[in-house]
Amino acid sequence: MTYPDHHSSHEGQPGDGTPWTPEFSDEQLDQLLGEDADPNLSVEAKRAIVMRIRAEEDAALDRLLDLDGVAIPSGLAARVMGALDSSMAAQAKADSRDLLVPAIPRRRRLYLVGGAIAAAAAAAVLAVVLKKGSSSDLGSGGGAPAPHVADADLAPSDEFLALLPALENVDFLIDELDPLEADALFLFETEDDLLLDLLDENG
Amino acid sequence: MLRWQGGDDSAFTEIVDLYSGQVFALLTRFLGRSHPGREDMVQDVFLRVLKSRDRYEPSAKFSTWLYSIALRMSINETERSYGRGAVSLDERGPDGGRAMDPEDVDAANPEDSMAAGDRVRAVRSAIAELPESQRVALVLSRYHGLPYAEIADVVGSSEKAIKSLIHRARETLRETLRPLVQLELQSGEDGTR
Repeated sequence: MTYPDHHSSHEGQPGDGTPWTPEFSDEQLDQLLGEDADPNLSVEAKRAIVMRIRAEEDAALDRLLDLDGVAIPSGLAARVMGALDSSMAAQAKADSRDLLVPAIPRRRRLYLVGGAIAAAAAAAVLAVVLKKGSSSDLGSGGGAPAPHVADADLAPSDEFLALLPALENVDFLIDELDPLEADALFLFETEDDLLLDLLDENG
Repeated sequence: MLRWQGGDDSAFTEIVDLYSGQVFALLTRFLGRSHPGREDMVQDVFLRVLKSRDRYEPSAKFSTWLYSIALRMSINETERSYGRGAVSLDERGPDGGRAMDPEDVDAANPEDSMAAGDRVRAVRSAIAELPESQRVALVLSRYHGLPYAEIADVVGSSEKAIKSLIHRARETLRETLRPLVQLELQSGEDGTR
């Protein structure tokens, strides 16, 4: 088909090679397409139509995307500041506590904790061995009842007394460590230099 | 930031006032609206800013640096969520899409009609289905107004790549939301005629 010749020339004619300006109204386009559903449009005209459709679709898509809003909780900034203040106060407290034991490097503290745990374990084993030894001595002594049985039950055991200083050290020093470090301490040997080096680097 | 580095502590309060909402919105769009720890993560983002006070160098815009921190944290959180099984693998699309839950529990406007609510959910779902890289680029561009160059700095990519990602994201959305786009076009025509 050929295009109807009723358009003013300043608008340009689809297919005549002149630029097709946006002034070409929707009604005119509808009328044109109504006459021929498959018009033989020029490349420029096709491009112009596609661009126009895409622009409209883009605008529609943007309107849809605008629907996706995020509600900001009221008082968020104040709560964030409050939490940060608390966090920084806790950090400052921890820093000041670190100042009390500044001379003990992190690696050495690990050794101390490890040493304390080892000492506690050794003390416990020693106490058990000694107690077993004394019990067997009494048993071989031939039927004589053990003296001050009631007092012995009330008094703290030797193992417990032996463990006390070590446990106090462990308690204090574990408090100085991160949970990860404390866990690692029980998982690895204190001789594990690689782990300790890593902890030093991260600490 | 420079004022704060210079010792003006009130400048940090201004930073939090100015950016906490944006960081929250960013985390919400990346992690989904049902993620329970978004506000805590906002605090973590600013805690990192606080701790990096002396290390910050004004080689890039502050917002670029801040968004980089928030993006890294949300990616880490997403990976942790996968690890915990909070998001099933079935929900992951190609290229790591669908890392967020499109459902909104706090932003639905009660004045919205049911149809509008459905449209909002459809839009969120379509965005959530985008591959992660496309979603990040689209969100930073469309909802946070970052220019391509700044987005490239945030995600560590090139401006050209960002432009391509956003283009592909919009093409995907245009297809996914085609029925809604057509409805929008029709309602626009109805409104103008």
